Amino acid sequence: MSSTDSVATNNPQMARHIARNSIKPRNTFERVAWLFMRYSGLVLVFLALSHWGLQHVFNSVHDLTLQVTIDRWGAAGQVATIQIWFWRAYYAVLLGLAMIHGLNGLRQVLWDYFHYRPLYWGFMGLSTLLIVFVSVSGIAVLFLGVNAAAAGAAVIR
Amino acid sequence: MKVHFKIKRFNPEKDKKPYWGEYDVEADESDRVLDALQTVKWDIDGTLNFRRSCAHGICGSDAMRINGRNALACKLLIRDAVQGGKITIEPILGLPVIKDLIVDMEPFFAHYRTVMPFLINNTTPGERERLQSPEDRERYDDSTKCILCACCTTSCPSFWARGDYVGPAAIVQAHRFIFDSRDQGAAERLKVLGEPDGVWRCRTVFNCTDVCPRDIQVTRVIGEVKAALITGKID
Repeated sequence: MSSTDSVATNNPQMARHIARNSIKPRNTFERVAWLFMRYSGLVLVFLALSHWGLQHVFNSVHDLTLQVTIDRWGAAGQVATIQIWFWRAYYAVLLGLAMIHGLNGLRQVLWDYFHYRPLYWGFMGLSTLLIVFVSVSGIAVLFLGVNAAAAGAAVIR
Repeated sequence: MKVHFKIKRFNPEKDKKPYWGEYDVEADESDRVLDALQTVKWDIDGTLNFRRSCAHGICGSDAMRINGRNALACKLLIRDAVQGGKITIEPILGLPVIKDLIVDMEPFFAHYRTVMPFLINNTTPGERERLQSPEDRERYDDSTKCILCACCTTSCPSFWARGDYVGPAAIVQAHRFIFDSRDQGAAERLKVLGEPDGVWRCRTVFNCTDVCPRDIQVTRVIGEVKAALITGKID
C-alpha cells in the first residue's frame, strides 16, 4: 500500500483523487507522428547501421559491383528466392521509412518557419510529391529486379 | 573595477532601428548586473529603460539577454557575467520590444492563460482544505518554482521561429496542475498541449533548462507532459 493509499483509507476526499491517475489519450495526428518518429528512428538506426556494415565493413567497397546488386535484388525476369525477397523487403523498408521519417522532419521545419499557410502547404505538397516519386520508383526498381544488360551497358558507357 | 557595458537601445518614437549604447561603469565584482544598470540609469543616462521590481530573484521582471544568455539581472553577479571587461545586454528575444530592454510580455502571458493555470476541481472541498500526501505534493514540486520570468520561453529556438508555440513556461505551469492530485482539469490542459503548437514543438534543445534562474528541469517537465499525452498516465 502506498502512502497515498494509506492517507486515502482514512479520508474519503483523498480516495476520490486516487481515481485520477490516468486519462484516455487523444489520438491526434501530432501524437501519432511523434510516436512514428521514435519507432521509425529506432528501426532506421538498425537498418542503416547494418547496411553500412554490410557495404563497408564486411564487404570491401572494391568488391561492390553490379553483380553484387543483381545477386541481392535479383535480375529482371528471374524467379525470386527467399534470400532475394528478404533483401528487397529490407531495402524497401529502409527506403520507405527514411523517406516518411524525413518528410515528417521537413514538415516540422516548414511549420516552424513558413508562417504563411499557402506557402507552407505549397512546399509540403511539392515535398510530398517528390518523396512519393522517389519512394515508389525506388521500391519498383527493387521488386522488378535489375535489368542486367541495360545496367551493365550504362556502367560501361 | 571598470566594466564596459554594451546595451541594446531602441526608442520606437525616435529610432528607426536598434543601436548599441556604450557605457563605462565603476562596479564591484560582487555587484549584480542590475546594480550596474541602475548606475547607468541614475548617473549616466536617464533615458535607459528596463524592468525591475523586487530585485531579489523572485518577481522575475528583469529577465534580459546578458552576453547572449538569458538571465535575471538581479541574480547575476558582475564577476560571473563580465567577459574581457565587457558585458553585453539585450532584451529577451522573440517578443516585441517596447523600449530598450522592455518587451511586450502579452504574447507570453496569452500562452500562459491557454493552459488554464489554476486549480480545476468541481467537487466541494468539504469542511477542511483539500488534502494531499507529501508524496503527491512532491510529484510536481519542481514546476511550482516557476516565477514566469520568460527566460526559458525566450531562449527557445522553436519559440523564436514560431511565436504560436505555447512555450516552455506555459508547459511548466500546465505540469504544475496536471500532476497535482487535487486537480481535475488534466484532460483539458492536455488537449491544449496536444495541439500542433503545443508540446510537440519542443525539440529538446535544453536552452530552457540551462537558463532557468530557478533551476527547474524544464526539458524534463516537458518530457513528462509528452509522456502523459502518449500514455494517458498522469500519476
